[in-house]
Amino acid sequence: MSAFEGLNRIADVTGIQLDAGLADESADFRVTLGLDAYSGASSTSSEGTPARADGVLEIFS
Amino acid sequence: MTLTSAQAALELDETLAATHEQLWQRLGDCGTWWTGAERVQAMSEARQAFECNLCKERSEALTPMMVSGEHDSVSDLSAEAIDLVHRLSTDPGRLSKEWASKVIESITEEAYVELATVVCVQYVIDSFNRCLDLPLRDLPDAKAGVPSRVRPDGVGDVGAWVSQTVDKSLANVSRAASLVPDTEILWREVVQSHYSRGPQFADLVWDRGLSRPQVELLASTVSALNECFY
Repeated sequence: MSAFEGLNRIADVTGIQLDAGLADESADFRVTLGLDAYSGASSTSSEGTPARADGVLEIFS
Repeated sequence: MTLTSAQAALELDETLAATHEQLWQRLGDCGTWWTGAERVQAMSEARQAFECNLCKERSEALTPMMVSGEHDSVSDLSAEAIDLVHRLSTDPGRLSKEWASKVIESITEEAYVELATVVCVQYVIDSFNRCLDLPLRDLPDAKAGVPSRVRPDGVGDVGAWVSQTVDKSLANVSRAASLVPDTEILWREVVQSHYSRGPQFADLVWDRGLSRPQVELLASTVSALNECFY
């Protein structure tokens, strides 16, 4: 849990964008879960196209 | 398992405890943009943020910028640096590009990233202790030295609020602190020790106390509570 508290903070304070693969991977459930309403959503310019990656590393391509 | 003492908790994983200790002491090193004394002052502010009335009032407001005032601070850092440390500690999900730009204009983007990274490493270690109901560590000794103020090569605009390495070999979050490589090392080490562990990050099956899906469920829960979009 503590690692994710730190990861959340480094992502939020630097305003990183979603990786292209992550934008695609999450495009459908971000809408369902209402994640696009989070303040940090404005940092990402691409909404992505719903798709499933072949592996963990592909998500972060 | 019930943990009844700090010693019992640390004995759970001696390697992790040793990693925490050496990272903690290195947080007090002279940085690239901040002195050791300034970094330790920032760590003191990160803890003070939880006692700060302004932070408390802002956390309860519809938007944090609706509430003006001064932080209850304990250091000689600039108001902008203190605001960075306090807001990053207590309300990270509602930071904005406009706010970050103002802080960066005051302290430079390199100093912004270094201070934020110090606080994030500290947050991992402090929250680990809080989760296990252990006492927080004493702040590290501030080491002597003069910041070199050297900006690394190969960094630029990759769409984030701050410059990062243009070489995207891994996730964007893994290059978040690449503007300050000497401090980024601490960040990478703490994340590796708690979570990613090198090539294991690519594996969907982990042979650990928690399975990969269980770990990712924890990650999702923490991120949802913090309203972290990434």
